[in-house]
Amino acid sequence: MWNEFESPQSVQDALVILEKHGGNARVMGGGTDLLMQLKSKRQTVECLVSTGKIASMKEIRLEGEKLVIGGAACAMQVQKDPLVRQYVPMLAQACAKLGAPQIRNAATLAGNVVTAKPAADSAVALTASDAVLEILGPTPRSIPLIDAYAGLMQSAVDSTKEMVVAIEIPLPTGRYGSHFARIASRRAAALPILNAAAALCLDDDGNITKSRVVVGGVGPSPQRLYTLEDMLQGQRGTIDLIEQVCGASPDHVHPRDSIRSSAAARKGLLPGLLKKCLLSSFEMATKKEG
Amino acid sequence: MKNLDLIGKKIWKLDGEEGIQGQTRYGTDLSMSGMLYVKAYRARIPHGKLLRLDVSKAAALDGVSCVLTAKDIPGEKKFGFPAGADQPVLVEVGGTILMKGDALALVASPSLSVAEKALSLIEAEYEQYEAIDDYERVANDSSYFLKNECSGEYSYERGDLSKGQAEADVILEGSYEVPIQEHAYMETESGLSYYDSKGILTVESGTHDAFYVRYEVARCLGIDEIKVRSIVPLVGGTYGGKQQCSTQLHIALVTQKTGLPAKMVWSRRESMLVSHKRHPAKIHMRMGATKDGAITFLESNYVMDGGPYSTCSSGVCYWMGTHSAGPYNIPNVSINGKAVYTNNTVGAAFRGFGGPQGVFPLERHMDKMARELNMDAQQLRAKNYIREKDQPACNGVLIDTRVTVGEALEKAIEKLGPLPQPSTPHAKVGRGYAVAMPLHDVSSDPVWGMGGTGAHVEIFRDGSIEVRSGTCEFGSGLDTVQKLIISNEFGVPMERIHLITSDTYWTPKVGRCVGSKGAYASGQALLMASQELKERLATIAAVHFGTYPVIAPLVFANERIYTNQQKRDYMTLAEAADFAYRQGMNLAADSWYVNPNRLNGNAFCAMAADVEVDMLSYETKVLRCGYVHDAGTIINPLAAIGQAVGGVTQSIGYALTEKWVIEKGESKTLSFHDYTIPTSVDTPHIEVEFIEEPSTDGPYGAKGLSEHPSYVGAVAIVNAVSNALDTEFDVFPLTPDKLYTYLHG
Amino acid sequence: MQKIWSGTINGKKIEKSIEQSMTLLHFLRDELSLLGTKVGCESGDCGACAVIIDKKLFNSCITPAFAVAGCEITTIEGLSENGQLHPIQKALLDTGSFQCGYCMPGMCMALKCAMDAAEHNLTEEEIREAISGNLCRCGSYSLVVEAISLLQEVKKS
Repeated sequence: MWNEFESPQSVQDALVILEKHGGNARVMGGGTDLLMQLKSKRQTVECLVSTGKIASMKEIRLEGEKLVIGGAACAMQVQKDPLVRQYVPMLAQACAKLGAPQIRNAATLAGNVVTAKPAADSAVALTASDAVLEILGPTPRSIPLIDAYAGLMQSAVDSTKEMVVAIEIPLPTGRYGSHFARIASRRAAALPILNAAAALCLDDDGNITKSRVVVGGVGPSPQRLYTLEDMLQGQRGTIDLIEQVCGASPDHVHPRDSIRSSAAARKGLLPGLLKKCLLSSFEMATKKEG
Repeated sequence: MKNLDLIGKKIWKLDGEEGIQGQTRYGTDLSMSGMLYVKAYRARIPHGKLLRLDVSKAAALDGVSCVLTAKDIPGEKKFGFPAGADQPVLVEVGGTILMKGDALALVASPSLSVAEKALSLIEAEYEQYEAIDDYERVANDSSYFLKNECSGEYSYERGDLSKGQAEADVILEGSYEVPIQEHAYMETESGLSYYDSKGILTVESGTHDAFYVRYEVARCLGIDEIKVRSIVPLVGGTYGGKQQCSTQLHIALVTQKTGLPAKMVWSRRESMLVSHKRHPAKIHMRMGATKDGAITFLESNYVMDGGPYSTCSSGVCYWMGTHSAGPYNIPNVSINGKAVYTNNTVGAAFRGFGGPQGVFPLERHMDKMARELNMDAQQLRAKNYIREKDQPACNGVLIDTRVTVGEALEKAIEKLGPLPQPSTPHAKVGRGYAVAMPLHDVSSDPVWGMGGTGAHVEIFRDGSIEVRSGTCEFGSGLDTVQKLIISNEFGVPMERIHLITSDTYWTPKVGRCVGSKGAYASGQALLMASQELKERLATIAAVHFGTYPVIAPLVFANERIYTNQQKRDYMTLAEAADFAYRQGMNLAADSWYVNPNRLNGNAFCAMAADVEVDMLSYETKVLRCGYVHDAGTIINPLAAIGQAVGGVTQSIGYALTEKWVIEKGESKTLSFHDYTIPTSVDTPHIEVEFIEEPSTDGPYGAKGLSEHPSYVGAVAIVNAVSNALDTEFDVFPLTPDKLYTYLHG
Repeated sequence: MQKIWSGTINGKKIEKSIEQSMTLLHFLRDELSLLGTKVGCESGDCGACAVIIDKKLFNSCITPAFAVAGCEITTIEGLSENGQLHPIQKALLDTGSFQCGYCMPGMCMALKCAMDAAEHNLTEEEIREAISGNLCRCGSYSLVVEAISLLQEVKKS
């Protein structure tokens, strides 16, 4: 599992420890997924490097036109944060539905992304928020979240060398609405059959200037349904349009059978789930003033 | 006689005050210095021959105290109850693996991590056979089988089926399937074994019967039962699942081999893989009725999947059959069922014991028949209920008390109030209900090995009382009920009674703490022993009051013996006990309770539920439940409420959230995140009421209780969803993916 | 590899040399003999091991011990004072929520956490939400909700 455990108090210290172990150490956020992954793979790392005591990584703040969420911010913190609730409500919703209270107190957003689960609730909402990961390490860089997946359960972030220190979300403009929803076998602490996040921006005439439709559970990572977004783009926002677009969704996903659901059922459940997300987003956006 | 001071009062569970502070000890908490951790190496395939097993690397690992295989078993190499020993303790090389998870070898080490590492060094080679996994096919295709016999059979005929068919205006057919259910107790299987200072091999383990464990341990180790002591500590839930041996034989073998204490705790994955499950079943049912709603015949054919080992499949198959005709007076009945062997999960006891499987098709069919006849479903049931003095179909029991099933259903529905409006435009609501007449098994049938329940009651010179009973405490409040009975009988406060349970050294046999062996049978045994002891004390009192040889009626209350109901003259219980002691009188009484009627059938229960189905997400929410149960006199209301609410909650899981996935003998849902039991946010407010129609032969008029909610819970919810969606659901669970698939194919 | 763990557990300052590879659950049970925190699944799914760390609820089975060094930890043993039951514990016993009892320590911790953090009386929905990560197979949830609702009524009056 792990031999040593370090809790550095700064990003710099953390990177030094990672380098010292030359690839045999790993960054840990809350550990809610990581520990079980190590166990099931019968893997032992030399050292776990926790971000839990890095205060700067727990901040949630506005920086110009961006909402910046520290990589060590936990789901409970994000769920309750007034800035998140104001600017990216679907992210607050996703975090509120994640697992159970004790999981939300530990699980970090960076961790959710880097463990590369196909349908991590917060990752689905972050993808729909056009989130960008700020990565520090030997090759510091920023990458869109959607590019953070290198394959099934594989991250483009190498946690033996680098860390996601922050997640940046461009502040939505105009009349914006968003919504997250999930379908699972029970109402708490359950991996999703499907989850989805949608966001809409309307202009003053009610036309859709921007949309995001993201689904988890139909591929190795959160899938952005570009075709559906194209169908919405520039159109006058109406309930009929949304229902039509949702109805077309099964043709644009290729889920697999799993113990949680057959592929056919996933396709079948998708329109209803997307309706929930898009209709709620539409309702929210409509209520906003230009 | 019911002393209103104690019976029926809300009393904290006996171990509750300690337990809620984290001070009680379960099997997982036990330890002893010098203890070895034991882990089992398990078969990776569901069916095949074990060709080779190489444990040499594991045995050579530094820190490993011993590695055992089948050849190291000195005694019997198989175990199993009650049908017989057909499950291997450890599969021999050259032997057949019949279940994924069959144990092949044991490793023991003072270090848990070394024991786990040693497991990874064992190598096994198999010749894999096809997994026999289609149980319906086993029942119908003689060329496809695992064992050339079935593990259970049931057949019942009454009247004349063809006559019933001729009289029917409407005949309905239906095919149903009832799924596997995993017990999912919060404490996994655990045990600790050790030699005591006198060289007696002691096993402490979570189970239903300390004596059964002693028997199997002695057999397996090739020693006399007098050399074994078996104790059952507090158990963190079982619901029937811990009846068979799990850790006990493995740890006992290690202790015998090494002389050291040995502990085994199953991981959650191991528990889900290996432990026994509720038997799934497929049923084909035909029912006929006149246009006025009188049911003229019922025909049911069913097959259950018992997995590879017999366990109690014979009993579960029987139980399913006897509940197939419900509390209805049907003149022409034909029920035929069998339990077959496969390489799937092992079917054994789970709360309801075949009853839920029998009630599901019947109560679904009743709803369908009501629709067909354009009758209210409650009215159709009411038209066909049995009456007092009737002999209902299947179970051979005469109803000798008031029939309260109709009243129970009415009250259950009343508790729901008016059907609520859907909470969103895309939701649908529906109400459903179900009734049952669960038999409670107070078995004295020797074939089942459960015959006879003993109790020992002794009063000490200071008036305090020691009670010994073979029952086990695993959450149903049996300890509390037993102390309540003694407290009530002798008029002694609870804190002056010491209860010793489930220890083969000290306690008499209970015969397995299942069905109604708990409160009912043990209660009766306690009453018998108490009666005998009180009669002796009454003689002493008669001498004291100068009425001897006339023994006047006495009242035992307030730690005193009163001469009459007006309670004017008395002697203290301690005075009487002390006097009796000095006279050389025996102050201990032992009883042995055997019920000549193996089954008793006059408990009735009903559940009503309102559900809301979200037609966008296909998620079903239970809005409210009402559960009403005639369990006779309620001795311990808090325990009774807990059992009722708990049984309903488990049924919500069975109907809506718990989906066991198994393919070709390989179970896939082996964790709490894959097999999802209900959480607090899946469970609504559950209203419970008890109708206390006393039984003629239970302690203080009690009837069976704890298993009964499971009979009606799941089917009431499936009935509700069927009503909400105007669609007949004949299978479950109705998880969103399954609900969508059933509706849209 | 061993290191000194120091922090506060149930109000007591603790300093002990332990393996860095230990989870908090095993630290509590095997090193400190605090057996009230239970082993249910060891995968963070059931809440039987839930404890309070710096006023928040965590599953100790998936918390490395050293992740919470320097923190204030409360286990079930720290809930009652001088053998006096905490009102939450009394309330749970009053409604018969305590059946096999295995989930109860974790359940108590979840309830205490939620009630301490709330500025108002918890609604039924909020109580259910607070214990949504504590599995109870004996099925006592609605009795737990009833217990806390009653307790809050009593406190209010």
